[in-house]
Amino acid sequence: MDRILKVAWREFVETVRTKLFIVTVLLTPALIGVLIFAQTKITKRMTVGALPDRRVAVACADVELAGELRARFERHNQAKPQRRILLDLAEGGLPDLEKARARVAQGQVDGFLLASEGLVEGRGKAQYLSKTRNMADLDLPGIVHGFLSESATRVRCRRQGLSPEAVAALNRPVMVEQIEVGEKSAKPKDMGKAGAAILAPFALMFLMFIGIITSSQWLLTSVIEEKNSRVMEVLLSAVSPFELMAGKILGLAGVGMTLMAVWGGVGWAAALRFGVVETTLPAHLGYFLAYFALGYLLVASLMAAIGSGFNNLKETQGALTPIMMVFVLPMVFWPLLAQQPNGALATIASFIPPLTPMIMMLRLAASPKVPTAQIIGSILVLAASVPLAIWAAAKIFRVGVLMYGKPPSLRELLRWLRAD
Amino acid sequence: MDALILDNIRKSFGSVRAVDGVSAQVPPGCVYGLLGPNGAGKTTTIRMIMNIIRPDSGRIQILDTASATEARRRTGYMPEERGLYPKMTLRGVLTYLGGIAGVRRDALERAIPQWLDRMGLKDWARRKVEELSKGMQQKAQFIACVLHEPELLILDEPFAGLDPINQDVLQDLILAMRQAGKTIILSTHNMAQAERLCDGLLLINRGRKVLDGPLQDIRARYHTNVVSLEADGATDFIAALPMVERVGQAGKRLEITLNAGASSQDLLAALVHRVHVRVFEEKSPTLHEIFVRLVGSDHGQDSQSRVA
Repeated sequence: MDRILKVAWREFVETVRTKLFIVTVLLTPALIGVLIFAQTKITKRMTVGALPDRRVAVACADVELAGELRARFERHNQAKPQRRILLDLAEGGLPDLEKARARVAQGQVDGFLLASEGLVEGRGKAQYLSKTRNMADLDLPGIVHGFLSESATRVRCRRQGLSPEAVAALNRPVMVEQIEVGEKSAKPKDMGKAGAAILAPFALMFLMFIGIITSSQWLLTSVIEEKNSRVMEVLLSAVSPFELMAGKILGLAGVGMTLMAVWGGVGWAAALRFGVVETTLPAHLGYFLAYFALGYLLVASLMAAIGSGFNNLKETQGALTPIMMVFVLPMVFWPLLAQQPNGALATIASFIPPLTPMIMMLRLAASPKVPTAQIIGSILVLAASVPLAIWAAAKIFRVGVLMYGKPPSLRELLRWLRAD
Repeated sequence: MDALILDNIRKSFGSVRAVDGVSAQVPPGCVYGLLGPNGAGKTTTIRMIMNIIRPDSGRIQILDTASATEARRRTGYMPEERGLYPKMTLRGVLTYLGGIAGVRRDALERAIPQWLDRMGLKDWARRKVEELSKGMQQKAQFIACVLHEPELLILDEPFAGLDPINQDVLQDLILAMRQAGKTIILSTHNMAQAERLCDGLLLINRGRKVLDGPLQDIRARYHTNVVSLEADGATDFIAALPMVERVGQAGKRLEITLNAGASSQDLLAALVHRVHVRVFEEKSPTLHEIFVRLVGSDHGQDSQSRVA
């Protein structure tokens, strides 16, 4: 045990010291932070600083409608002086379509609305000509369309002898406050918290994915580096292959925990800062650690075995791709799984050992009603698979680490497993 | 009690018989050579001794215990495939390797600087291993396997990759360790070096033992009864002496083959009265010659494609 701990400690210290680790652990949250900061800044700037005016030409056959449109554009420009839409209105007759097209094409206006006679009565269609396709102006046709509809409604109201304001009052939507009745005291949720509730399952699953995969990848790299630097046999004269493998797995578990603690902590702190959580996280921390420990042991054993059989990282790609595919599956199907956390798919997937940790974290975060029997059952199945994986990995590792040259075939691997 | 006993050990990799029924005894306090051409099975034998791979059959007794795992604390091993962590400092890597070999931290703090000093690596202690030359790394490797002061030292091709000066440094260290009562087993394919260094040896080829025993006995056994003579004066009479079977010329020396049972001392006595003897040498065969005589000339190339 003393030797295992010594191996583990070296593994931990030497990994944590590498630039790669520091970059991965610190830079990623820092980068995300910078992005969030920049985004809020830029959004603020957009609401404060003035953006170039946009010009829309409107030719309206209906004089009353034209008046409403003019009023609507003015109201808009008063409300949003930083992003005005300048109106070039022609009442009465419509211009030739070709002439309108030419004005838009030459860039004299950003859009040209042709509102023909009878629109208020519901006859015919208005035409809107536009050229610009840059992101900033994508909203313009929608805005103009909205203004036209609103104005037409007001004209219709007046012709029916109704007050447009009264009609608007009639159409006012009814507000609903959503209250979720859970085990804890019911609290009203605002949008941020609802968003957090939706994203929490994914965030937890993603953290689990990152934690397991990253630390296992490190293990793979570490085994291969030891093979490449030919240090393996020196080590094996002092520690048994099993002690070496166990120490490496343990040490890199520490690395994975550090990574997740930093990332999880940053995410948690950010969520608290923006007031979007007092969520499911602390309640599931115990489960998270249990699932991580078991899931990591399973995958890490696999990676140790793979690493021992190959001479460089390039060669491992073939063996890694199918494994990564399996792990990406829950990431792809997560919305489906989160919508039906107790559905057949989610339940079955919970009992497939390599997937168990990710799926179960997703389910636990998405639904308060995951049956306890399934939680315990999935932990038991996972826990049962771990010794099997370690046993097989130790056998392969023992032979593999001293092999150089051609990677073993599947048949050779089976022979190694049978060897005593 | 012998430091190491190999009893009919065998190991195959697939259809390749790497080691095929090798037995040997290594007495304590000697330098013992494991000799053979490339691919003879030396490294496989050593790995079995170290319990890194297990023999298919046969028995190994090392320092009175049944396996190297038990004797690990008392055994130092420098493998043929050797390396150190390139990104760690020299001191760091030695502290780690000494640590997993069971040496206490405070003992390491004392021993490592001493060893670095002795090996001329003092100024490199805080450098990364990758900055060291190959020869320096090999010396560091040697330090790593003696830090726990083992009784038995097993060195697989210890001289490979060293320049002549460092070969001498290592050779002196090995002899000093024997002086201190330790047992050293080393493998080499350099027969001349083994002949200078070893007290006993095991010679293997294609996984099989060719011969073993103390070097003196081996020499005596393959004694050729040839005397090399350099003398001033007329030497024609020698061929007619009763104990002489045949006289040949080798440069300015004569190679005199004696009759079976004849003593070289009688020849010398017969010579001194008639010629001025400058050189009189009993020719004992070199290990290389013995080896060639025993296995023929088919050892020139690797005996088998190697497995590990």
